[in-house]
Amino acid sequence: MNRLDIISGVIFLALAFLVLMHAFTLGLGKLAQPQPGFFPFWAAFFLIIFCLSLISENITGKKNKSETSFFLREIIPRKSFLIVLSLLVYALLLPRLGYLPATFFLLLFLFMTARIKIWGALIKSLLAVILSYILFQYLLKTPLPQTLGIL
Amino acid sequence: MEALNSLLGGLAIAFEFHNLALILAGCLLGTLVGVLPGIGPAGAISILLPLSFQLPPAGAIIMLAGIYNGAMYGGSTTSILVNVPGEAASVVTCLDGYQMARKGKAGAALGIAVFGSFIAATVGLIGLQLIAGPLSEFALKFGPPEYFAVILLGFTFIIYLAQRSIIKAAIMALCGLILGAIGLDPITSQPRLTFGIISLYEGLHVVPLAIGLFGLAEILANLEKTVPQKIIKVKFRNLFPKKAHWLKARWAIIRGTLIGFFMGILPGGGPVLSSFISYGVEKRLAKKPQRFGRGAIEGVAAPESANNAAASTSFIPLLTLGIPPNVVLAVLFGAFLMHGITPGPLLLKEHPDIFWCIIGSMYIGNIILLVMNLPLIPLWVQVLRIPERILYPLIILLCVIGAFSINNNVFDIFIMIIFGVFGYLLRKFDYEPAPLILAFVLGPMFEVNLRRSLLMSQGSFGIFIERPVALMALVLCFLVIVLPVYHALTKRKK
Amino acid sequence: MKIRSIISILFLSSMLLVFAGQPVSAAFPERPITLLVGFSPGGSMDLSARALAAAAEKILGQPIVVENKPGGTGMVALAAMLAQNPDGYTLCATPSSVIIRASQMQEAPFKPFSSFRPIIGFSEPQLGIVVKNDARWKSLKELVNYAQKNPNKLKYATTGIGSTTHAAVDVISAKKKLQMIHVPYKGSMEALTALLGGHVDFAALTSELIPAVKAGQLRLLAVISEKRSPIFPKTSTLKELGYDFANDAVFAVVAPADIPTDVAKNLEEAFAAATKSKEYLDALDKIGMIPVYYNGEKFSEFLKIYWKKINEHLIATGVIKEAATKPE
Repeated sequence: MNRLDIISGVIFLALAFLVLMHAFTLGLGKLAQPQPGFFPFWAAFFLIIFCLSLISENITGKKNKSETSFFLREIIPRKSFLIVLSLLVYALLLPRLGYLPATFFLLLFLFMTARIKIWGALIKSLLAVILSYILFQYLLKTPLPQTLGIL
Repeated sequence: MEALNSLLGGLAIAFEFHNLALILAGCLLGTLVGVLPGIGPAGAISILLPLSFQLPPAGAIIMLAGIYNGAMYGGSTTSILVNVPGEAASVVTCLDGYQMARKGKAGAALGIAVFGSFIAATVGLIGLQLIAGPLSEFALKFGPPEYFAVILLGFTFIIYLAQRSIIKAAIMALCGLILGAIGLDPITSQPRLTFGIISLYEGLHVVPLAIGLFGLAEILANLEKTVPQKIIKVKFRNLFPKKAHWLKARWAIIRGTLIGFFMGILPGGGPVLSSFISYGVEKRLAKKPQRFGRGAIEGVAAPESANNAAASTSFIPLLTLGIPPNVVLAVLFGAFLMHGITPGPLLLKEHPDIFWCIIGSMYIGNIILLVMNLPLIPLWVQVLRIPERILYPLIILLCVIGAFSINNNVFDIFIMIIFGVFGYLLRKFDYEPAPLILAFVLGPMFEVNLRRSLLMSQGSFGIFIERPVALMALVLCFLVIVLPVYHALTKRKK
Repeated sequence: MKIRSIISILFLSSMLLVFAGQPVSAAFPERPITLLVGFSPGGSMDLSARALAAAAEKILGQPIVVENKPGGTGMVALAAMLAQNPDGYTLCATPSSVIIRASQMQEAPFKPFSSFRPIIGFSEPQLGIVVKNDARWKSLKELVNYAQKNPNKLKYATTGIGSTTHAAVDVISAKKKLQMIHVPYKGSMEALTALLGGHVDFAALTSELIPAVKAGQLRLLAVISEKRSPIFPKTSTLKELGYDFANDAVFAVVAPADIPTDVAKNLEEAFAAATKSKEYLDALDKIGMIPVYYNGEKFSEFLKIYWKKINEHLIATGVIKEAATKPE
């Protein structure tokens, strides 16, 4: 019995039920004219079956896998959490601040979390942000979000 | 003989200095957009489209074709080095390519990808030159029922993509199907699972999804290792594939080439689909399938050959029928039109010089790409020597810009982050993302062709049996599913 | 130290001068204009917008930067424009069908009649009904007669349920009470491929039909537009054949509703002049687009007329029950 499998099975099961409900509201239609809900319905239906078999396989415990301890803090260590958070903040700031400052701060933060000294981090971030800007904005003509309408 | 003469004529035009320079420029730029995640060949070609107006038509088109081929070569680089797919056709290369790199065999992986690409692209070109006409007639015979059957065959390979638990692989695949259903319904345009977000109307894009699931998730997972990862030392003689690698990879290259060759012609098939299918085939045929996902060289050779062969042969429907079979060629189609040339059945009659010049330039482009990419390999391998505390922030930067540049939209960065976290949790809970990606790519095509077939037949499944190609594919599906079960049963009896 | 701070103050204040308020002056435009396009590069909307931009920037004297923001069936770009300052420096090129048709089928992040100030309607795709060159039907009349005698036998491809091409075929089958099997495809190229492969009997397509008809792969039975097409002047329109329907997908440039009136007038004149330039007309001809001209006011009327027509059609065919977006 593997508790991680049971937990993930239950999570996917819940998701599958949500999709199933949504499929019904979309309408299943008939075979000659399947409606939008037809395909999500069957996908969710089979997802439920497989989730149930995963859960039951682990509860009846035919396969005795090594017990994986699970604690939230082991699953989500602080550093990964910080990085995801910084990326979310970055994506929110990008359209407002523009590419150059937002990306500079992101890189600075990432280099700092990687325990690089402040001056090294400053220089590396500056270099990376300017090079990437030249590469994407000028060479590949990607319209990156601008700062104050100039850069 | 006449074809050979025409080709020589085409080569002669392509060898003129300014054309040669244009091919080189196209190949370079293509390699660049291939290496960089996100912005792909379609984007790069459309950016250069306005600039190409100053050029004569033949020059413009051979440069744009060079970008496409270059991107197919370059796409595998970041997949292998840092687990971030350069573009959609190289997603599957992450699976074994990155594992090879972690074992210090990045050079061999990159090398076999380049050589495989070269061989496959050249075979594709020969096909394009010799049997373009009949091949495209064959491709036209593919209607919704045939697509349905072939895609179903693709699905059965999910069984082989599963490394450990079949149940978990099935759960992943079904999640992929549901994720693929997000967006407007392909038949009725009704919003599905969009939660009122307009950026979801056209569905999730595979590139931010894959960058998150593979690239970002990998970094998040590696960060928590308290013991610093040992630096991979690469000796110079390990930079290129050795004889043993060749022996292992040669059939994979041949099979990948063949699969890519045929899938490339099919409208909608193309490089992405063929890379997945060839990977599945290799794993199915392997004596020790458990090696896959742990750094099997066939897992790099087959998809990389397949996507290049497909890239070459996808020109066939464009040049002979005027039908662009994928997005990149649709942009190229626009380029032809802007230069006053209409690709299609009349192209060979009206502009034979341009037709042969394109083919000639693609041969030359392939050689240029081979010569250009080989010296790049040692350079790329150096990337792995950068200490990871410096490398990781840079990879994250690459992931972010890559996701953004798909639609020039911040929304895709959020998608990338969400799937990064999802991919990280999947690792923790011991799931594999590969079946999810495959189902995500195939799902929408599967659904729309099933529904179109049923509309055509007014709800009768007979349509799949009445048509020979569809029937053949269905029989194959049946065998793919039944054979392993049969084997398992006979083994148990023994 | 002092000098440095003086320099930085000067620098900052000059920045403020440049960006403060963007006073409206006769000198509009004083910096590059961004033209958003809600579709991927290389498509007909993108190529027409680029052709127009190239001609208009010469008249305006400032570059027009075309920026692709695909997504949300073209709605993402319109929403992105509305999120910017309504100063005339961010415009959006869009097919009218995104404003009328898509926002009836899906909820839109704008009010179709009141969020925009149309600047110009500038081109439209070539729409038509085609069969393969070896088909037995030489005219639309023959096709209709055949369909009347053989119900549920003919299969036809369109560019999608609820699209203009679908509406066109529906108008015919409603009038003649035909029963045919509709196989919707995603876009004109896919539908064209299905027709060439013989998987359907006829198709209603957009501009992609031009090269195929010219090459003799397809036979054009009717065009779907107000007037006869300059490319195929011998082919009758649906209206001439007795079916009251024309194209509702006109490509247009729109601005946010509250941009200053003089800026809008300025833009309107510049774009109108651009549509008359030879450079623009040549470019359109190459990509198979037909030049049309609606000024801002006319285009607003056009939107209102077709909103009603499309709404009736979508409800009659059961695609929607009511419009997903309120027009005002």
